[in-house]
Amino acid sequence: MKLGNAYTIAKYIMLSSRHWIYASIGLTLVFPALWLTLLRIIGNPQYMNYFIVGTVVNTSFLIPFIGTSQDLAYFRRVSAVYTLMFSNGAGHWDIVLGYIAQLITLNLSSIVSLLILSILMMNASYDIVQVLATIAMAVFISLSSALLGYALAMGIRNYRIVNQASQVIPWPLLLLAPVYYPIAVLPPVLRYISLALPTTYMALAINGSLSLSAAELLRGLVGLLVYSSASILIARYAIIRGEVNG
Amino acid sequence: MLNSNNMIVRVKELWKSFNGVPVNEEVNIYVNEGEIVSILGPNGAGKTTLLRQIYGELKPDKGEIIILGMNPSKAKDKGVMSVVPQETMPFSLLKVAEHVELLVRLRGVPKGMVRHCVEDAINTVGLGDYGNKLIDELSGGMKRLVLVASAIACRPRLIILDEPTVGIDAQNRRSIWDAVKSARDNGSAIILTTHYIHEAEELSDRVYLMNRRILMEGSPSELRRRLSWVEVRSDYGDKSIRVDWDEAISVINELVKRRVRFEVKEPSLEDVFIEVFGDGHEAR
Repeated sequence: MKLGNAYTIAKYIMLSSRHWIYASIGLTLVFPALWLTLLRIIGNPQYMNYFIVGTVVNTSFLIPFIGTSQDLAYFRRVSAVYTLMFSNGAGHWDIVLGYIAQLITLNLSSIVSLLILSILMMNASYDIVQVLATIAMAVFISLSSALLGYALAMGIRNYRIVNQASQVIPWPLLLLAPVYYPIAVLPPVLRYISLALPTTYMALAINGSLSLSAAELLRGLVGLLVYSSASILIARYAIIRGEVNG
Repeated sequence: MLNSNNMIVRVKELWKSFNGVPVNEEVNIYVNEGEIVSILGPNGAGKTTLLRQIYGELKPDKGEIIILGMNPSKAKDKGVMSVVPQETMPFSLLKVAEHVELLVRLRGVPKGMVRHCVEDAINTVGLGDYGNKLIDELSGGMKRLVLVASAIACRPRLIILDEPTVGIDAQNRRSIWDAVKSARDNGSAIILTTHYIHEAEELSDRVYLMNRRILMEGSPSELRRRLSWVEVRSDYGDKSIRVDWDEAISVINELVKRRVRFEVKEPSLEDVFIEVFGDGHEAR
């Protein structure tokens, strides 16, 4: 893997994203400000922590997962831009790393904004360590989610199936895991199911970093490492299979 | 002629199959520096599969591909080749110059050279006035020109063009031909596939006819000479007849005696193509 190629790809994909500036501003500022305002009006500050954990997980999981799976499947199977970059010198992992780097760069601003707005609007008492730890975890979750998306994009040859699956898969992952609510409110059976979902570990990692709980953070990190490794293995298998079977 | 001193690509005894169905069988080709080589064949003849192995996207089942002494993966890493894959689209939300820059930088061209190379390539394909224009705003033919500009920029040693002119108008096609010839004149080796036989005839120094395996090889004129007939068109009797070279003189003498207007036409590369593959144009 060449980091220079990944940087080049990230840079030029970001340049091609400049036309989405209004959507970026909406996602970065308007969306968190609006939800925090609604939360303030409803006046249930107890829910704020769950809301922040859920929104950070949602933002750092959903956009990288859907974006990576749909864009890279489109690049590979429809526009052939993937092949264009590959055949002109980029490796598979240069392309995916470049894509993920630009995605995280663009996505991170909305997470930073949410945390800062929570402090400003809701008087959340996060210190700099909590904010930095949460941002670091959000980066790791984005990377892990993007790798899941890449495995999906590489593993399924039909672009339309990838497109639909990437929109369907996240919802059970978000609803059956304790992302927006504590695990205690889930029925016992779902608690066991949630242990197998990557979003559970994402929520643990974010909760652990916001509450500075090392045990929770560690459990979250280990879970994410397992999922990331599995995604890398699946994608690697799909790449090798593609070299043989076309 | 096979010449190891200036050989850029050598494909030896290459075999490739998908799910047990052979696509390339015992393919042997070579491409020298400063040479345009066309690979022609019907749909499904294995041309794109062969190219995908040359630029490292597919692994051969058997055989060897050597590019400047390296395997395709190493050659790609070293930035010696540029490729326009089949049916590819450029990044439509980049500007023309940015797109060329992106691919040049992926090939590892030093930063100091990039700007000059990009300008030069854009001018060569006639897009000089469009460098700062979004690709999305260009016509389909101009988008193909952006891809060709990206491929020829900074004079890579090997340029692979898989049907670069498909579906574009005569004017833009002519611009692509000029750009390809200019790259050849600057020393690049070029592998081209096309369904436009006239294009291959116009551009190629050598042509391979393939249908899974290589069936014929030579310069366009050598291939034309392999057909032993000429076509005589006249106002007399059958309007157009094909006669063997040996009989041509007597037929022409007869037409002269009868004071009939006539013309003699050599076989074209298309005639060779039809002779080899029939006129169904599907791989069998």
